[in-house]
Amino acid sequence: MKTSLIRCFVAASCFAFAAPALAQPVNITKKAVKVGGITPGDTPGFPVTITTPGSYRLSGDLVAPAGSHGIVILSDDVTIDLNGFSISGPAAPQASTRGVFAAAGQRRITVLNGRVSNFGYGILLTGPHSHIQRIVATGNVQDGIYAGYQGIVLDCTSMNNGKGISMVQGGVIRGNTVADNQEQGVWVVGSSLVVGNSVRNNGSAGLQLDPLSGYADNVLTGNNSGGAQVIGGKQLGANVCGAGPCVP
Amino acid sequence: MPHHRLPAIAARGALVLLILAGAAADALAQKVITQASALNGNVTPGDLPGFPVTISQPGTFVLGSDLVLADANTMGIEIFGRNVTLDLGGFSIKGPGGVGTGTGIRSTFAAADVAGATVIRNGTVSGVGSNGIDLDGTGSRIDRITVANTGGDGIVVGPASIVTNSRAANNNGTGILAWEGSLVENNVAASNGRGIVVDSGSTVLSNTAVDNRFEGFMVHGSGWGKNVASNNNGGNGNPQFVGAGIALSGANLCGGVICP
Repeated sequence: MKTSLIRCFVAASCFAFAAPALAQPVNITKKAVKVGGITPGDTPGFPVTITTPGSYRLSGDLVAPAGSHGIVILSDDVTIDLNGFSISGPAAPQASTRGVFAAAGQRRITVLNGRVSNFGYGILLTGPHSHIQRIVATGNVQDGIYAGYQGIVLDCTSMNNGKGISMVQGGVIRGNTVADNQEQGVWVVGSSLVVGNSVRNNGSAGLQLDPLSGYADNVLTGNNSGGAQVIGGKQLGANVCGAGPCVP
Repeated sequence: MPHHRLPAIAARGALVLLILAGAAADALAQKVITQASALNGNVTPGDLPGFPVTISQPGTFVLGSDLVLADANTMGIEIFGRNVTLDLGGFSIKGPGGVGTGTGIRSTFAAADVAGATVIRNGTVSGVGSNGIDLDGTGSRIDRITVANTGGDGIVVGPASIVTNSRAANNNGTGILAWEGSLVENNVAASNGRGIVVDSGSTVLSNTAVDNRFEGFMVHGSGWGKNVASNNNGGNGNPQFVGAGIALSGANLCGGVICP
């Protein structure tokens, strides 16, 4: 018995150590945030600053202090997988802070799989071609999720923010749950598509769209204090407003 | 320490290492491609050092870093085997820009209508000299991909393929081109030559095409619905789509006006 265990131990050790060292996404840990240097120019503490393209992954919850952003992206082509973890600010967030932020010059930013709470904006990606998927944004005083032009926002939940989801020109907002935000549920400027979302109990219209945008397959209830559930846009398929179909 | 506890401790140690070994085995089963391994070669048998990385066996491959191509005539990854899944892992394949012969990712089969079943997902291809992704064979799958700033088309897939949740932007040729019997759903095509082009028997649902130099959609004998086209072809006063599309559930919107 003992001999066989030792053989097993040795064999397992050899196999484990024979595994090659593999490059992987860069892990963003609490310790790494504290130390800094996650990418060149990233100083200790918050915000985490990402200055080089690549793939990054949270390995724990991050809590930013009052007045600080969570993650600031200063590069194109960055993917951040929250990996089921959260980025949160203080209970009384400041409007000037962002959970995840990329300015207009940064393109092709992807944020996935986690929760962003208690900032000014939860996720604010103002550059083109962003992709935001499986994010829960709550308790942000401005927009829960903001995607710049030609972005895709998919399978997200945005609740108890200022606005729920905002988008600028040419994107797709699909399959999201948007509820209990103080202003519009979904707010779009310019030639976008809003399809298959559940939008309820937002303080203003459930959908507020420009004339070049279309919407279909959405269910809207209890928005705008029972007033107009949809403002603007063109109806491309059936939608539900309250207890019946939306009237174009 | 009592001697009678040693076997139990050894068993626990062995168990931990077996778990580690299992993780290592998983990592090995999912072959990782990095810039370094691309330059070293032998990612699969016959893969020479440098680019393109050639994949000649079925299996799942995942990028562990960005792949950077030196010039517009260099290809990134060439796939010869069937049933290959390539997960870009949130990374990018990047060329320097300009027009050339280098494709970002290409699958090639000796005969037509080979069921390649190639899957590409979760990352970006940009700045390559030719097409961003060009998959021969049938039954390909593209999901959550961005292709941008290429010298050729953005995404090209063979018959009976699926392209979802992806975007093609600022490509010199067509943004997304799918051959017959394909599904193109929930994508963005912006600032390309044409936006989205499909061959007969395809389904085109819930896409946006904006700011393309020619029509936003070219739909031949296919069904389409809930698509938005705007500011293509020189402005909303010009045709936003071309072809013989058959309306599915839901209308399409062309420059703010319902279109067939």
